Amino acid sequence: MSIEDKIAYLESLVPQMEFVRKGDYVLAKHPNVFVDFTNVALDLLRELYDLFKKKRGVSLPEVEYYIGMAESRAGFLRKVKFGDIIRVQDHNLIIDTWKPMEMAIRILQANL
Amino acid sequence: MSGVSYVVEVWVDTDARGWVSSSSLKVVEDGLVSADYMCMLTLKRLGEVVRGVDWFNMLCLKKLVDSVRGLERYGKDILRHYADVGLGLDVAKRGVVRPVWDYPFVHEYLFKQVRWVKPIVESVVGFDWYSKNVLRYYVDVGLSVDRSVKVPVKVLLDISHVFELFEIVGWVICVVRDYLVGEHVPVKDVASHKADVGVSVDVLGKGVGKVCVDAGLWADYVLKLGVKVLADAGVISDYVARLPAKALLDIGVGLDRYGKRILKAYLDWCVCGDWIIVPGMVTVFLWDLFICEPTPLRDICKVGFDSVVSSDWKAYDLIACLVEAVRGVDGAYRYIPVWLRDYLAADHDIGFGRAWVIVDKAKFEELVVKVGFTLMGREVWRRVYHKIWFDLVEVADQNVKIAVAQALIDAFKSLYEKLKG
Repeated sequence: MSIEDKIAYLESLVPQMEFVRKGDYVLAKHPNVFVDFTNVALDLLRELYDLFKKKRGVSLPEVEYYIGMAESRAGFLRKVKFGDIIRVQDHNLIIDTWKPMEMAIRILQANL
Repeated sequence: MSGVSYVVEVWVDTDARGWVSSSSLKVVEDGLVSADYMCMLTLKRLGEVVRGVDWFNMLCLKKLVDSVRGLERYGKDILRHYADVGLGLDVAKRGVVRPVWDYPFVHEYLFKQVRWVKPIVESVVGFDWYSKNVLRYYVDVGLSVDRSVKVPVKVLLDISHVFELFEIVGWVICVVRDYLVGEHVPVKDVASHKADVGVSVDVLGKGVGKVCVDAGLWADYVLKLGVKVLADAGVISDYVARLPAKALLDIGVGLDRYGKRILKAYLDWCVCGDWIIVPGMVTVFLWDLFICEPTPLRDICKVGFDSVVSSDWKAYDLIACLVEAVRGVDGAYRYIPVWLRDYLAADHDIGFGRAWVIVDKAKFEELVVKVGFTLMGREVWRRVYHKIWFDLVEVADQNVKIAVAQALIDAFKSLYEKLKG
């Protein structure tokens, strides 16, 4: 998948993310769609960093550090099915993965 | 001639003896009258002293009874005040935060109760002790008076002994005279002797009278002294009786001052409650804090509030705890509009499908983190952004992540556009 395809895929996932209200059930698809989004977004970030290195000719160790951190955390993500108990990690790991991705994007944009 | 002379002398002797006897008897009678007067006076004074003592005792008892009644009345006032305070606290407790009241109130109540009852007990004990001392003093005074009275009596008794002695002396003189007459002692000498005896008896009688008068004066002085002592005792008793009154007055002042403190605490609390409830925001706050569904703000406020209350759990001071609680509520309350503004703005943006740039998201995060750090320190960071065991799955957990995902997509697109260009 190209970068455009991945961005399009990510955009296609957003409508699947359901806004919930008080009293709604927690469904399996709610955390699962975020897991899919995180994995694809991490691939996209890695490709964008490669493109950055290719165009600028420099590498940014800090960005690599954040990408490595996000990859290590994403390795613990799991998908759930009906009947599974939503655990603490199901919520925390997504946040913990997105934060270094955000930091990497900030640094890349600052160096453009 | 000698016989005539003898008759004359005898006549003279008889007359002189009668005169001497009548004088002596008169002196003795005067002395006895004086003694009788003194005895009556002494008894009269003694009776007055006893009446005075009795009166003072009655006065002391009356003051004691009055003091006890006063104490009882103050005690009832205190209990009534406690009841009022308890009712007020109970009413206030129903409408406000229970943990703020319970422990400090109970502690303060018991502490104040003990502190108030103690001086009352001490006052009663002190008064009782003083009363016993006063009674003992009265007894001592009575004994002194009794002794003082006995002394004049003894003096009078001694005087009567002296009179008796004089009678004996006079009898001896008569025997000597008769002997001398029998032995034909010159009448002139006998008459001279008789006159001397009469003068002597008169002098002695006057001396006895003087002694009696002195004794009476002395007894009077002693009785006056006893009365003065009793008067002093009365003053002391009055002073002693005033002590419990002063203690009661102090207690009343203390009670009044404490009552004002309670009222001030009520006032502060009511002002705070009014300030909290009137703006609708606090209704949200209270609802969010105690009743409603869990939200990050609820966690912030609740943890902050609990920490404030629990940190002062051992403060043992109702007012200080209230002030701190108000500060804690105030501190948490100030961030409510900020949080609501951001929360509603975020919902609004999401509802209209707008992109939410990462910078704004970061600002929002920084703001909330700042709030969390301000209130509770670093622990709140995990509580707001990281779910922990036993946390409920909240609406924000899902919805905020959707907003962040959209922001990440926008950031990717922006970065990709710049890399391409």
